[in-house]
Amino acid sequence: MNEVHERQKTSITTPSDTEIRIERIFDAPRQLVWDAYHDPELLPEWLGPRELTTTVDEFDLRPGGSYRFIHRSPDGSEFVFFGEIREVDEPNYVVRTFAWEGMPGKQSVERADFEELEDGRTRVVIMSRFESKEDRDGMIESGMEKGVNEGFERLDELLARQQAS
Amino acid sequence: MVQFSSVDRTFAALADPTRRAVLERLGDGPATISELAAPAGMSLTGLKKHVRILEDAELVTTEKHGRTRHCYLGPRRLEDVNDWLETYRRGWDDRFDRLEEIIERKKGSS
Repeated sequence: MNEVHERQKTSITTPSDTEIRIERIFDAPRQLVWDAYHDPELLPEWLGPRELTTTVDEFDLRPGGSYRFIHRSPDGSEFVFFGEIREVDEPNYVVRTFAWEGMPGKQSVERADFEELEDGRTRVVIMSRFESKEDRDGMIESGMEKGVNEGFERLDELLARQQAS
Repeated sequence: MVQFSSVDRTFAALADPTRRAVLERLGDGPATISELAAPAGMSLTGLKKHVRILEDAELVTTEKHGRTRHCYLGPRRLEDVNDWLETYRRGWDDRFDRLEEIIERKKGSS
């Protein structure tokens, strides 16, 4: 396990019960990372789980702009994510809301920071804040990408009940 | 790695509406195979197959009392956030690997 961890480049932590923090350092200047990260034509290449086909319906990167993307599995299941851009400060940070149609009425607020390091690399930190611990855990669970080709509509309820029992 | 395959097994077990319904039902208390089969509109044999998959994933345990088999929620609870988090992390690692390839490509062309 340790060997695997050492070469892993992405770190994920939960700074509090309602947050997830994702960090990764890219070996490229900040503007380049920013451009690659926000290019709607490139998003389908990296944004979704590898097994799913990602389509970008809308991606309007300015305050008040909306975005919507769809992951489709080979059996036709769709996972739709959408939200609104709240703040953009190129090439420093973006704040946006993030919602999944599988969890109606729930949304998180996600801030992506792009920090230029002294050695010319760029640190990307995505901090997601959820309305509750249950929402956050539900989102982590929905990110499970293996072995599941069905929707998870009822999974979050189920998990909440199991944890309560 | 054993840890991940057990997470995979858990999710494979959960990726079926009948099995999720069984777990929900067992959340209210133990039940026999026939008590589980009736609301699912399934044969006993069909339901037993689902229960076996849940048993393999340790989500359910069963005990035989005379001729009936009683089912309970198993030892494996889904509250182990570390398992979830690690799989989530791997998902992001994979995404960022692809983003990194794009960045390398752009670096080469600029």
